[in-house]
Amino acid sequence: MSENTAMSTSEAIAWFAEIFETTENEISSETRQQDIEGWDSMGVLTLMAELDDRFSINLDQDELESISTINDLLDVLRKNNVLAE
Amino acid sequence: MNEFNTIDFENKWVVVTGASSGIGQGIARALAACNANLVLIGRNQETLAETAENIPAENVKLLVIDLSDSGTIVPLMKSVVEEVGAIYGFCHCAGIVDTRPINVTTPDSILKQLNINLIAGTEIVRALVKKGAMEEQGSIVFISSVYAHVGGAGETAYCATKGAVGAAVRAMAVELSARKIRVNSVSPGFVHTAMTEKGSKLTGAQLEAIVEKHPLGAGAVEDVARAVIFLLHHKNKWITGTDLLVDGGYTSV
Repeated sequence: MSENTAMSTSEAIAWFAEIFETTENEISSETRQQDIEGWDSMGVLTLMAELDDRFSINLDQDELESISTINDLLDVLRKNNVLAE
Repeated sequence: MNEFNTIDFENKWVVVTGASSGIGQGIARALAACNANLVLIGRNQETLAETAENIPAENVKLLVIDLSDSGTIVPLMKSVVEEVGAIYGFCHCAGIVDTRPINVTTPDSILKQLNINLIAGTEIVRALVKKGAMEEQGSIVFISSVYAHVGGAGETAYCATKGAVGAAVRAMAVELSARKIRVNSVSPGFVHTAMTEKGSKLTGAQLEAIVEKHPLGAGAVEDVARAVIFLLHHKNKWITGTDLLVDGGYTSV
């Protein structure tokens, strides 16, 4: 079900931490994919499912392959107007 | 005439779902090349009309149905039968895949895939088995998947729906044998289509890794279409309740 409620940057980081099964203390906007153990191929699929379920955001392959940091993920939320800043 | 060199569906109406793209479109094209009359079912009038323009069938009826709305299927099929007469064959090609790990596999994501991959097909069969709607000795083929036979990470729901297709096919085959209606399935491996490429949630590298697991490489829609034509053909009258793997050896490794 789509919630469609914008989230703050810190809420978004906490959400990504939950998706990648880590803690929000372990990640910041600068953290790279290779530095998060849970951001593997299954983590990517979980992320895509969560983006779809929560915000109806569907990433195509090109967008997906251009993402390599938490900041890139925040950009996805920003572009879809669901990041409150 | 040599009975082993003719594949002809002349004067036979065949219904194909998912006909606007991918495997369904390839099957429609192959059936048209074998002189079948076609009822093509798809979601989008424009892409369905494009498909019809590019295939050589003499008689084509287009039917725009949102197959996720299962309540509309039986009445629409009834109206088609009233218009064209008894249907000989049916191939359920429409299918969706929503790849997601089990921790985000919700009931909703399972049901969405089940609705299209299985229930839309059984609804069409339900319409076709009403008196006079399907020819005696007709033939039905469901497109299943290698994922009915083996597992894949992120494919719990998809595997379940395709496994259900195989189980349903066997039950329908037994039940409809009294009317000599045959029911079978085809399980393709990785086939290059818009759904498996642009529509996939997997990266190019992940798709390439899947292709590499096929000893004969990725398949083409025509490879699947030939198997479907074989199972639909009236001369193969002693084949029912079976699943034909068309997978370039994927499940043999």
